[in-house]
Amino acid sequence: MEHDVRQFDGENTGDTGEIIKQLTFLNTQEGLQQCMDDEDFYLDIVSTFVEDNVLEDMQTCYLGNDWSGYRVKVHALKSSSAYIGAEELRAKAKRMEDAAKQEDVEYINMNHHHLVAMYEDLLRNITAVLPKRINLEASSQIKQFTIFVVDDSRLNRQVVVEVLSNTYNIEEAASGQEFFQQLEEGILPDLVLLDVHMPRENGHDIIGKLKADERYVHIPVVFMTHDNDLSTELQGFKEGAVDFITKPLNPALLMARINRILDLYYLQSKLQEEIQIRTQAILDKTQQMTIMFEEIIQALANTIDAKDKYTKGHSDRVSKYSVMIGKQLGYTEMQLLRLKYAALLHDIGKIGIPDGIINKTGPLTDEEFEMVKTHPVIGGDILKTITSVKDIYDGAMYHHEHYDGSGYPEGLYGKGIPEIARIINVADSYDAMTSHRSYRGMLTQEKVRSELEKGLGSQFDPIIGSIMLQIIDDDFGFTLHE
Amino acid sequence: MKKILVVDDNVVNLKFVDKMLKSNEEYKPVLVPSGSKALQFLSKNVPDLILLDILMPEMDGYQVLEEIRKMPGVADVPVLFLTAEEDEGLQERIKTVGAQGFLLKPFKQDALLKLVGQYLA
Repeated sequence: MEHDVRQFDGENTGDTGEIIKQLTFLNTQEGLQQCMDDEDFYLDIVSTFVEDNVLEDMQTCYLGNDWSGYRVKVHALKSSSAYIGAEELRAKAKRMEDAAKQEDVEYINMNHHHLVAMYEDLLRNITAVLPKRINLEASSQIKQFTIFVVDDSRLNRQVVVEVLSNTYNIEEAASGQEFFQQLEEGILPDLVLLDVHMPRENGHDIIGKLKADERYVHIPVVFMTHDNDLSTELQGFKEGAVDFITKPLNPALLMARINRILDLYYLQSKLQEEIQIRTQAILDKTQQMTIMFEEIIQALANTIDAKDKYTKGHSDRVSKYSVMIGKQLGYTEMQLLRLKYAALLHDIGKIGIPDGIINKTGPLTDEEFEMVKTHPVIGGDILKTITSVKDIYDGAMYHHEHYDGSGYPEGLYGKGIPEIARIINVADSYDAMTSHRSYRGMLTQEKVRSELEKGLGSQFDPIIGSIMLQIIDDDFGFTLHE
Repeated sequence: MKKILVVDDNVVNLKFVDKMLKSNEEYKPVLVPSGSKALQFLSKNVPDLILLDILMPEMDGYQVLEEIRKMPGVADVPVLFLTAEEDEGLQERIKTVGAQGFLLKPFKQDALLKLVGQYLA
């Protein structure tokens, strides 16, 4: 980025012509012409440019992806820049306005931070020249940087203060001890100007302590050194210094270096901030979607239970038992989630079976039983469009397959049956036995256990069935039932 | 005295128009930074002329004018658009919404005074 280096030349004199001469970073001739050659009016407009800046509005629109709002803001920036003679900023704002008009988000993303940095730079530069004219309360959105100068030479510190104090907040310390004391008191500088050669603690010692402290490690440190010694510089870079300035200090160079470093660091921290905001937004959105997905699955599962009044809560319980088994099998969080959804929906095909059969209190006729047996295929048909989580289809389609091949609808056997369906089969049978049915009460825990044991290797996968037996054995009070 | 309502979201623009208009002692500019503020002013005051920016947040110039034309008492006040919009069809659109004319930004003082003068004779 280009920098306008302003030589320090004392207090504002109050004479408008003199002040305007200090606005070297603006095309004041152009600005004055716009302002009908009225110097006082020109300075008024320049002050307004700072006081009524659109920085925060721009940022809000940018982060909210509000491109029509963004367009209005950069449009205003463009025309204001033209009035004061800020040509570079005007050109940049114009390109951004065009991009916003076309919703060229890629271009905006690539250039927004550069525009903001330029804009802030200009606002700071103007404020430095017109401190008395500008109502600081209104322009408090511009961050005021604090620079800490640590040097045992009072003369050097004075030079730094003279050059930089118009633009920046300056803190001073004559020794490392004094410096750290002030840090402990809560001063957090945006940049440290550090003399290398000092009695007692020298610059190397001090930067070592800074970089070892989590609170200060991110603060850029610039070394000031007398010698043009390559090894000192190399050592300094290794220790984490960002730049070197040679003494005696040249005011213009000092200003330019500090401006550049602060721009880069501020830009970087802003980018990090934005990444955080955007990442959080994505996470929130993902979480919302997950919650919605779960709610939809739950609602679907409820439709089955609503139809079958004797098996109220059946889907929830099968899901719960399935997840207990899955945990014992060492399933990951993701696998458990898929198992949970598959189990919740395993009976969805019952929607296609007439209510009279589903809710019949007496024993079913052969014909009726054949109809009930079609529910896995109906369920599979309903769920076959969910290809992203195939487990959901498998659970509904194959949860009545038996390990020995005697089940339905396809008569699959052994490991040919999807594992998820084998788990649901065990959990489903367990819940059937531990629920009150119209034609019988709930079985005792011993009875359930022996039925399950009998089915190992025939109806049930022996490993999954054994896991369920273990779960039963651990359930001392027989709490796992309807 | 001729009362001129100036509506623009950009304060720098407002100050410019204010400065330019005040060179004529007969003109008394009233500055407002948004369409809603303009309508609020118009509900109690009748200016001799309205100068209206187009690209503004919330309510743009076209929408503001649409509201103005519905307001009893001020519906007949001449309206001039001040705009940097060089969109194709700008002239057409300005006619259909019922504005008297427009001036492209950035404009010079004499251009503004000349145009304004036509409606405040």
